[in-house]
Amino acid sequence: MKFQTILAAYDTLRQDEKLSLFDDLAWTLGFSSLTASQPKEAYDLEASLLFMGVLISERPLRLGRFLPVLFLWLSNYSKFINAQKITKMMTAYDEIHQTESCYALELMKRYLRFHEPKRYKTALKIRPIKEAFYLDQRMKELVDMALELEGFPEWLDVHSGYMMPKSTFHTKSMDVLSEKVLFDRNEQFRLRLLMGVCYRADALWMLKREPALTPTQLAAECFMSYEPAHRLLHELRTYQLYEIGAVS
Amino acid sequence: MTVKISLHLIEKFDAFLFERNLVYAASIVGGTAILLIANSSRPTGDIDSISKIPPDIKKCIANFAVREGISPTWFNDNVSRNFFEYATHGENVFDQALYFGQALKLYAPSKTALLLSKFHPLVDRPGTTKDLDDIDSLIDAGVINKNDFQKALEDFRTRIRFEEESEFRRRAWAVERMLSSMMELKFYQLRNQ
Repeated sequence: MKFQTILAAYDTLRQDEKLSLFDDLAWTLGFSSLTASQPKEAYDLEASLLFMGVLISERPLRLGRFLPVLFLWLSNYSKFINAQKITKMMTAYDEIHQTESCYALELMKRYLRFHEPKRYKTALKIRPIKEAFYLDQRMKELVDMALELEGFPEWLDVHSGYMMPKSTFHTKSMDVLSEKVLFDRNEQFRLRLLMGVCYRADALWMLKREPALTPTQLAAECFMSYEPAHRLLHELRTYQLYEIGAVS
Repeated sequence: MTVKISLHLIEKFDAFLFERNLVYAASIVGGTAILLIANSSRPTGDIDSISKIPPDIKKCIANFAVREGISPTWFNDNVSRNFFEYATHGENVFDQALYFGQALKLYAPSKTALLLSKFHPLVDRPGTTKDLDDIDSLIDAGVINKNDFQKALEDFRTRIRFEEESEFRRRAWAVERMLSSMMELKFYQLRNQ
């Protein structure tokens, strides 16, 4: 499913629909969740990551247990993320949701900026927070004790305002499925592994799903300008790469 | 709300065991047990068994995981040390029946033990919300009342009183304080709803 489609519908989703979206995204990203199931429609990788962060941040959904899994995913697979695309998606999301802040998204930004400064430091804008943030206010005393004992993870500090000890992000390596499983189940991931993280791989992936894809649609979905979108589609259609098994 | 914690996955595994002429009865704790009891559809990562899983069943779990493309530890017996000790000291761990299949039977221990399986990890991993979320789910679903909570808290106090390590004891008492105030607030809110 496309980023723009989810973005437009997200705020109107009921709680059960959000949980069902979570199951789809968990399957797409390869999170170990017993409720995850193959979605009817394939989800874009960056859109999945972004909305996974949004869903985890929603307290009433009680999905906080998957926060460490999200960061395990980032540590394993961040090399497969299209930095430009996710940056633009996050910016688009922030523009619409200027007043509310999703803590998991903000943490993701900090993580990516710290670990891959060349790709993210200047492009990914973080929102400063005014007061100390605890995942659950009831745990404040315990979290402060844990911070004293363990400290922050290397990519967070007290100035960030996110009061999270190292153990917040502790997880088992099995909580995210292996590259092989992801390679088998996720075509977009497979194409990125074969072709590298590029718009061409994404265009090919989208074209397979939507043979009538227009340059305008591709440009909007991948946050690219019209001219390269047009050129890409033209090339792919000319050589009919999506039909000869380059995408299977 | 329907029970979604992939009952279909459990049913599939039940059939998988049945086809291989194997039977297994487990007592489970943690998120999955709580979600099954609270009849909730919230996602959970794995099934934590406090019954030791025999090698032949472990092999089946691994093969099933490969077939379904899920984590090999989706059904595991790595429960917390504290709870394992508790469960092996006289508690009936087969207190509530959760699932009765042809080859697979799942039980949960008493409500008190189940709550304790969530209280203890709070000492070790205070930075995550999963344990508090599970406790909230049990209370919100009306599965446990204030008496059950008080009883579990009393058991928790008894156990942490004998802890030797001072740092652990300090954190455990902080958990106790948090749970006491949480209990008062939560049941007060429920009464006034």
